[in-house]
Amino acid sequence: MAERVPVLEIEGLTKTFGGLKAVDGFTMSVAPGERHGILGPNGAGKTTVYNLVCGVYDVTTGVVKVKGCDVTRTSIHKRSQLGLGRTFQITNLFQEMTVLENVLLATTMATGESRSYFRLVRSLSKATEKAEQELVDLGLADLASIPVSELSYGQQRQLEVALALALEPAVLMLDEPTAGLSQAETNAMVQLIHRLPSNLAMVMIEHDLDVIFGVVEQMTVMHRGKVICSGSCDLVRQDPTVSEVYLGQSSS
Amino acid sequence: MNFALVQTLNGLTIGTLLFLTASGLSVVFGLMRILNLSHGAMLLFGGYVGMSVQVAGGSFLLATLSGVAAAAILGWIVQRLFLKTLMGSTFRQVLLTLGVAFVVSDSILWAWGGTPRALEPPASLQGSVSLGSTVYPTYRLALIGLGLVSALVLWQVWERSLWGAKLRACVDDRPIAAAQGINVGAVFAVVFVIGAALAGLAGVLGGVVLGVSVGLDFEMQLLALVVVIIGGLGSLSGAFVGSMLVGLLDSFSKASFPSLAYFTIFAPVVIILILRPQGLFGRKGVM
Amino acid sequence: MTLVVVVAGLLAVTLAGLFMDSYWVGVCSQALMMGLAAMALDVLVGWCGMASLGHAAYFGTAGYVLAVLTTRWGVNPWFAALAGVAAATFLAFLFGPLAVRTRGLAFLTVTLAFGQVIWGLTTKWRDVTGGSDGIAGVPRPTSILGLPLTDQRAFFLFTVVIVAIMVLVLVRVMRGPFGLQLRGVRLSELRLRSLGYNANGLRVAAFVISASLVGVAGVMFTFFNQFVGTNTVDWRLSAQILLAVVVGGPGTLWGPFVAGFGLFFVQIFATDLTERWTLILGLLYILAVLFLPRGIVSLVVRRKKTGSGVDMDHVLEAGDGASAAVERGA
Repeated sequence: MAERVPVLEIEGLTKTFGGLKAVDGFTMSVAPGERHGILGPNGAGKTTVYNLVCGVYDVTTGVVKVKGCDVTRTSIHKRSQLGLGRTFQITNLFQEMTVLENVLLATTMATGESRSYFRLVRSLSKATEKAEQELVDLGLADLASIPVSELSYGQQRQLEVALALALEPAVLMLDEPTAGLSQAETNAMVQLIHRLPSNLAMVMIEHDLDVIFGVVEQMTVMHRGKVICSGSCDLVRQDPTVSEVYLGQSSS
Repeated sequence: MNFALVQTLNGLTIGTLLFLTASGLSVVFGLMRILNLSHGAMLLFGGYVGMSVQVAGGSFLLATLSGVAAAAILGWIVQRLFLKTLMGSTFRQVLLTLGVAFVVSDSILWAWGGTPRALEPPASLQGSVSLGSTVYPTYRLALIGLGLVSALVLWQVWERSLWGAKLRACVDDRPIAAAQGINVGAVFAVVFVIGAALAGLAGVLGGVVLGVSVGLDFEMQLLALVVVIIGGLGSLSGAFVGSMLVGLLDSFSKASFPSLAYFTIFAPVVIILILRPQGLFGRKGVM
Repeated sequence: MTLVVVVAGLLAVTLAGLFMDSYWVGVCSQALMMGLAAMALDVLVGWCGMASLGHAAYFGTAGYVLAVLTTRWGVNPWFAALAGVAAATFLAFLFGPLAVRTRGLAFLTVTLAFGQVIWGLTTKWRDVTGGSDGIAGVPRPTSILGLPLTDQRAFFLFTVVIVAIMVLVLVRVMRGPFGLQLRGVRLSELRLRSLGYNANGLRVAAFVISASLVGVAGVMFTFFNQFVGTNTVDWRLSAQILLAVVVGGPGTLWGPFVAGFGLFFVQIFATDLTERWTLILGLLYILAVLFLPRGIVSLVVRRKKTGSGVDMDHVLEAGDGASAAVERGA
């Protein structure tokens, strides 16, 4: 079997803020279609890793590669165009725009109609169709013309994922997708994740152990900016350092 | 050698005037998030009032006090009338103070006419001092001295006094300051008025060196804006360093490259803003 | 809705204009140009949330290039006009990328400062620009489609056509994906970047487009007056254009257009009666801020929660959504 190029490769990622090493030598590899979880207590550096991978922060040292291309110094938007999709820990949507407009920004980019500058938005048929389909898939179709600010928190979280998905990324990075959701909403989110295309690689930061163990195959556990364990779910579950960190941790 | 010395002293003179102007602007912003675009107009108003008092026979001291008082009163009126709006969105207050600037500026033109005027220095500070082979006006040297003194005084108040501590508390965290029993509204009003008073002081004292004329308000406003942006909004040390820097730049460029006009001021501003958007001493996220 | 209003308005103005005496026809012509300038600035203010106090630089530069080319070098007025607009566009290309790296008040100051650089150059460079005397004797193009443009009424029709074309193109583009993307830049730049958009490039594009159209207005203005002076690069003109956007209603295009148009009439009336136009302008600013946060548009159209309308409280907001929280990390 030919070796597949990992869709996301992170090597020795380090980020220092002033005197603080927020991320220290983080290494992770994600194969196409893989479901990979990142675990760790608060302050472990998980979202910082995301920010480094996506280009929000500049790395102090380390390498990030998407589909084999070195993107360590590439701009945020170019990384996204290469196939990196992401959701944010705190919902980051275009609040004053309607749900449909939010998704359209993503779908027009995907269909290339974002450059059809002389066409009216409503005539961008491919993008609109795609957007409407997304909304139907998510059960948000009725809300298409509602401003996002009027959506419930759970609906907004779903929309977050929808936006990232609409770009048909090669790897989707979810940042605590179920945070703050009710049990029913969490279940809906998990169902959504299960329905993700099998050729889409997914990385997920999550605190809810039930959710994460039910969804991912590989895991990386972080503590104080370092990777303390990495491997399959079973490996991680049995690792003594991990139990110590999780049972001995105080939430801060 | 002479040229360099004279221009440096000129630069420091302007720097002092700018510091008096910009410190008020900077602190008001740091405290209240209000960028007062009518600051220059208050400066000019103070200057004209001072000039009129002197022309009417008053002493330089009386003229100075009148100018300061006039500007302070104007500042008081503005913040009293518009404080609620001023404390609202950034854009609104920018527009509002812009409107005030136009009104005050044109009123000054209406009241005093368009002929440039100037103030006479007090008798004790007339004449010049010899510095080696150069001769330099006494008044300007005194002004530079005043600049240093006022910087020290302001720094002392800001960093060391109880009042300064209260001010800094209000800047850092308004709700907590209020919870501590500090009357934030009163603090703001006082600061705004003091800022205006300082501008008025700059207007009168500067009236000897720069004169009082139509357009000076805008010139000083723009330079003060540049100073606070370079120095970092809300930073007193930034205002000081920025003022001296801009003053020196202004003097040297006007003497050496008069036709380049604003470019010499503008280029450093753009470069600094690109490299360090928060200014030399500012804190991130302030803008 | 916008389209209907714009077309109806332009038709009304055209008809009215043809019946007025030539002085008022001239005023209408100029008012249309000011409307265009305000509408152009709205792209930057209403869509990107970037308030510029230095757009007169592009108005004046276009006019001066036109004047210099025609009076000094004898260039054909049509080509000179194109060159003028090109010059304004080029200037924006130079300055835009620098300016858009700043936000909010820094952007305001930087644009103001740059405007002053241009003003300084214009006043000092007497050999080329005539300094404070300006350049007189700028020729209009002789005729178009048989109409002699020396006639005020013919020129008015010409103005209406040019402005109408610019307006229609602008409305079309802003109602397309570009407009959506600009709103995205204002509401959450980080989100937009994460979707693959070059947010900086979008801001520069908005800057250049607005400058370019203001340049068109500047060229028309210079043709009309057959003269260009330092008032075309004066910061007060920049302030007036910004006021028109604010009074009209940022983010609506037609609001700023109407306000720019109307404000010019107010200026004509005011300067007829008094020398205190600046004072009146100042009062108008104050009144607009206090009583019309969404501009005159709000008097006509009921507040929509979505759409491109923006109120004053949110113009300078650089909405980065979660980015502040993102910075704190987890």
